[in-house]
Amino acid sequence: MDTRLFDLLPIGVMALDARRRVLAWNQWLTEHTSITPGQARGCTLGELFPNLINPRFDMAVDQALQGGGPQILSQTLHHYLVPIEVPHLARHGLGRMRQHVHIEATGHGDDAQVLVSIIDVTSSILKIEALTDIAQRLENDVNRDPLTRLFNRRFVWEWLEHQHKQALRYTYPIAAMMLDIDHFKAINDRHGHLIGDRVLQDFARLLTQKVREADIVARFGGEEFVILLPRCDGALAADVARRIVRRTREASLGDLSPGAVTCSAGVALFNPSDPLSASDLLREADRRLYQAKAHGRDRVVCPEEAS
Amino acid sequence: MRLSAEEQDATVELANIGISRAARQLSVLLDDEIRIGTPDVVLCESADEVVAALSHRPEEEVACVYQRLSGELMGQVVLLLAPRDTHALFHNLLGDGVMLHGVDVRAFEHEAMTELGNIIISSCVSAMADMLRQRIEVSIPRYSEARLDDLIEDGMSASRAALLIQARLQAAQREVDGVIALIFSASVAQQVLAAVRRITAS
Amino acid sequence: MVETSMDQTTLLQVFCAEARDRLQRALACLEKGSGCCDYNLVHQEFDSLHGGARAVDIDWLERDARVIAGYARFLRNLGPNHVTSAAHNLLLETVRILEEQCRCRMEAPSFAAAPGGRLGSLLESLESALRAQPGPAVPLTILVVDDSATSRLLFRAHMPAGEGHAVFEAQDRNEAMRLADEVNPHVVFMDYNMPDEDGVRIAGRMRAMGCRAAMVLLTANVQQAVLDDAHAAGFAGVLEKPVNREKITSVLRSIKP
Repeated sequence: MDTRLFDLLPIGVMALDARRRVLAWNQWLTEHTSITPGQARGCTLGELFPNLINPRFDMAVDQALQGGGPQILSQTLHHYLVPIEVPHLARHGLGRMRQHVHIEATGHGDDAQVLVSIIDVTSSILKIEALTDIAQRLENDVNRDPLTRLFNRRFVWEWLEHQHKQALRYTYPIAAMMLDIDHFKAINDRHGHLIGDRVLQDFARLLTQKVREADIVARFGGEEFVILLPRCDGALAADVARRIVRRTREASLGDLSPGAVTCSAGVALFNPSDPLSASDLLREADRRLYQAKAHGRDRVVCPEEAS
Repeated sequence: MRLSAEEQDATVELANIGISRAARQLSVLLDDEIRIGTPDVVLCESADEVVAALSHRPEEEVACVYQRLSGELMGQVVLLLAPRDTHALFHNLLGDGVMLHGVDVRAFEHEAMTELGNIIISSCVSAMADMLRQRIEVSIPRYSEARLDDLIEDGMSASRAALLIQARLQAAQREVDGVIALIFSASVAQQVLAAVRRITAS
Repeated sequence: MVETSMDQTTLLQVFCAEARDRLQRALACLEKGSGCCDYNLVHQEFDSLHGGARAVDIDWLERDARVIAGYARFLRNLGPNHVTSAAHNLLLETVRILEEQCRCRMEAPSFAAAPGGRLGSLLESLESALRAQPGPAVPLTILVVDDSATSRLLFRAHMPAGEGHAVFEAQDRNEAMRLADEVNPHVVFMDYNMPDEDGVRIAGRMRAMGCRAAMVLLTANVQQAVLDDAHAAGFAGVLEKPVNREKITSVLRSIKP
């Protein structure tokens, strides 16, 4: 091939001999690595890039030489073959050019040659990551309540549907807690919506502090909240609920004096040996919340004490 | 047409050598020992037989990598990977701490699976070339996803028989476990068998 | 036959007469040319000559006969179709000169002095040819244990020919154990994937039974973990499938039974 054409290619191309020494090194490679064809010729890639240890590349070259046909090294699994710094992309986690590598052998025995092509795929990775970013944000937003940043009702149902199946299969309990801020309408009326919103935000923060990382805290609507606790039995759930109710009473939410804000809670338990449906579980918790309200608020109603 | 006992033995040996080669490369990629089950080899006379011999449901979506063979062996070879088997493999290949979601999982998975498919196919083909003492050229790998029955139907429309090789690969230290299936088109199957017969007759 | 009552001089005379006959027979055989020569006979004559020379303490002849016997065996193992005329003529010329020198000096006591000149350099050529020869010089008893008939067949097909190795095959554990006992192999080529039990365990059983063969793992699976296991289990080597003549020769050369 005319070496001038070889130099015009918009990809990196090198030819290696059967002993993996560089025979040819095109202009693209010279530009990106600052290694001239004269410096590269006769060297192995390991000699040119001393920190480069890539056993898979060696095996792929072997495979190509042994009649296995063309070999590829994907950017997903290897990121790159030849280290080339890319400016301005380090903050994307892309400090080095991502490369798709194609390896093909020609000739036999000692006369065999290996043609290695390096294609820059960094920009397509950026595109994919940008798309993923947007998708991720969208996905988060549809599952979150904008005011409290807690999960929302939509997410609760999605999560429960999945967890319900898992709990049945692996036989573990799930506790559900329905909570409601007592007389929230009165707080709103008396202190205004801004304070009302801050009460909701502080209450949300308080809830997340009282639960484990695996538990789900969600704003179900208005001043109503749900906590879902996988692998949690009735006694522990009752305990968590009581602590939340007491802490709410003692705390200063939305800068209101302690005791100005209280809450009520109802607890229900999904037990795999006597399973409820996901919607019945929430309905049970809601029924007990109603009982707590009916019995004077600022309290918890748990399965064993419910009538 | 059925495989004789000698042909069965020879094709299993051939498959074992090819898959062992592939496993060696996979073990370097995964940095783990890959355990190899004894390959199962069947000569199928119709697309239905291929589907029946596979452990997947016909309507299941499968990923496949295919490469064309030319030179002394002409035809096509398809590698099937069931998504349920490859997810764990894929995440282990990327290493811990890499979390991927939604869009990029698919884009990256295609790329990684193409490379894996290429490793497995080319290992098997180079083992065949060695053992049968033939020169076989292989095209670059292509990736696609399809319903299993559609895929087999398409792949076999021009031919009646196919050689199906299945083997289980399992990583020793990690939760990677799956069955790979290689389908050689009829023309390849015929030529492999002819070469195997030459060897066994000698 | 040499009688025990003979004194050293008589012994030497008997040996000289015998040596002359042997050299003439070997020379006559070599003069038929590379296609028709029975190298086995040449080997036997010089092997006997080597033993006799040792008995009568003629150091130079003991050494030279050993070299020539080794070279003749080498040609025998190559097989008649693979001996080049150059390789043949080298041996022919060596034996001719030796025979000539011995004939002139047989009667004289000076026989004990080593001849030099042309013979010396010819013997050097033989020795260097022997050093470069491929494969082990000793015929081995080899046991191949593999459940695949194809694999055993390919092994047999690629065995280096003409070196006199005896190959036995076993397709399962019981047959392997029986043959290991009966034929007492120098080398066992053991497939890893055996149906009853893996090859490493079968090899362990053979050892426990007293088998002292060098074990070589016969496998396509040459992952590092497998190589490490084989090494830890005391295997002397690994032969990667598919086998070919070069691989078998190099494994046989690398192990010392």
